[in-house]
Amino acid sequence: MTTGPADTGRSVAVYHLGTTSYGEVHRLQQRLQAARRAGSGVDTLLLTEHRPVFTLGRSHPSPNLRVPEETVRQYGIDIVPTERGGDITYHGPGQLVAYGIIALKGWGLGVTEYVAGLEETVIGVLADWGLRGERSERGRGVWVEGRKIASLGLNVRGWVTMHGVALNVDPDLSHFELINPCGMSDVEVTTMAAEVGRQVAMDEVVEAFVFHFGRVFECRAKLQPIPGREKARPAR
Amino acid sequence: MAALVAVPDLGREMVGGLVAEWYRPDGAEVEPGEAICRLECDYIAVDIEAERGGILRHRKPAGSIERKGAVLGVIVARGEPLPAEEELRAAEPPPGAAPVADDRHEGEAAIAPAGEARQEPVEALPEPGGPAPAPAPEGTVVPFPRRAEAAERAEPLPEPGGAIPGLPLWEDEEQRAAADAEAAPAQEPPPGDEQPARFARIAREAAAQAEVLSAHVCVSWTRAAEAAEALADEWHPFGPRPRIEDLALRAIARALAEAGVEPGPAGMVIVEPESDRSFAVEAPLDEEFRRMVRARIEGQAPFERADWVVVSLLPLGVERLEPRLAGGRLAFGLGAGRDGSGTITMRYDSTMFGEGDAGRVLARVRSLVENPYRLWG
Repeated sequence: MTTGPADTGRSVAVYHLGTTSYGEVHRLQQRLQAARRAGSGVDTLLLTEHRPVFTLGRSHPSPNLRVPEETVRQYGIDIVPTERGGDITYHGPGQLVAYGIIALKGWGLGVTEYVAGLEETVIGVLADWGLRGERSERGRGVWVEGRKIASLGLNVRGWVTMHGVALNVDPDLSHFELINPCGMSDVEVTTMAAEVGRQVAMDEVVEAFVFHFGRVFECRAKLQPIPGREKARPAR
Repeated sequence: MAALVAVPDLGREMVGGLVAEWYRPDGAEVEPGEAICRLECDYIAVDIEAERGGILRHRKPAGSIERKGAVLGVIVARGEPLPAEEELRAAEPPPGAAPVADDRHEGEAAIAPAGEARQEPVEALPEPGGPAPAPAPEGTVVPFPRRAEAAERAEPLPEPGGAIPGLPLWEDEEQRAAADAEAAPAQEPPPGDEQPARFARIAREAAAQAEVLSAHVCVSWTRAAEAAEALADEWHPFGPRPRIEDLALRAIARALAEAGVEPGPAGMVIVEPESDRSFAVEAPLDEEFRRMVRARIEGQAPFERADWVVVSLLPLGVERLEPRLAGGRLAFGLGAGRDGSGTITMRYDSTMFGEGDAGRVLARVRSLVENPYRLWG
């Protein structure tokens, strides 16, 4: 899908990767960021759901768990250190993760403007389902009536971003109970499905996310086919 | 020309950021484009890259919070002198609307120039063009008029993160060291100045410059209390039921041991100023800790011989413990705030830790206090 005025000259290649393990997408991001920093490659938006994993920010190397680490291992959930900012977070099926590898200089954006744009994108998506997302004093991310629905974490190197935003569409909330999300012990986490009160289709959320990303950043957001995956996509 | 390592402008909302980590130590040789420092601000981690190759010198330690544009360090070519502190300050944006000249003569000058400025127009009446520009050169244009004064006032690099303490770093300090050497040649053994003597001199200088610094970290005592409650059964066989302080002491001991800080001949010493009792523990870990808890009841052993001191008390400020530090080198204070939150404060000898290390120790203590399960196994 193509949206947004073309005159800003911004465009982003969007890949919907389906369900992936954290490690492979992490490596992909690192490669894309390195290429973008070297001046090659294109601005990219990766959309995916991860298999269950806890990831740690650089400044909080020891996991902020509510239970012993062994318990987490028993659930079969890995704990992976990353280079993004922020504290521990959870990724799992049912959570839409959007990673932007964007050369901000080319877009004429500051990092904080980009972060605000990501929040704006999520707020736009939530509005499509009749939810009112908002920013909060309590921290970055998007909140619905004081409950956290989307988290943010970014790494910037050479003005190229990496990591991004995770929106809870319909993940297993019991996994969140093992951690103190973002290092805060009193945060209540919610999901779109819980707030809407019915099932929410991930594909529709992906479509809405791409649309709003294009709208907010005034860029041409184009969903790229993934070789070998065309057949899996339903014919339209 | 030296390349500056500065806090990047991340956008309008950004005020400043935390120097989270120097990837490369002070004095390291760096390649152009290499990530040398991580800056964090509100969920964003920025890797700052070297603009050019050369020798990296830190100016701000890891753990400090700096405003937009602040110069964190410089990259110089091998053999190139460090740029003067004034040049670096000039490269930084002035704090608020205040001119750059302001932070050169902070305290006393805040009043003095105002007085001068008031007198100025009276004296300068004959020259009509003079009055307005005249006060400005006072502070800005004249090259480094107060340089020596500034060097007197405060060392440009109070805490060279990661560098060997006592080694002269910046031009001013080098000059001072040279002057000192000239002033007292008789005391020093002549040219054949051998390595051990030199190290002894460095150690003396470092000791003379040593300061007691403090750092603190916020903790949730509520979580610690819950955990202490849950762990009561495991502690019970060895002594009284654990209190939060016991947990904190154990966490501190573990963190220090992990940081490679060895207890001195008298081991770790616990001081309770309120009851004016103190007692020593030979080695802080595991079974020794039981003895410590027992000693806590009996109240024995002097603390004067201790190399380092761990202090456990809830309401008292650590600043008051400074006299106790004369013999020791390390103190911890536990402070309780409202709603179950609180702080752990660490006062330490600057020759013992860099600020980054102190921060890491504290972070580890917090992590252990809030998750005391890790104290076992």
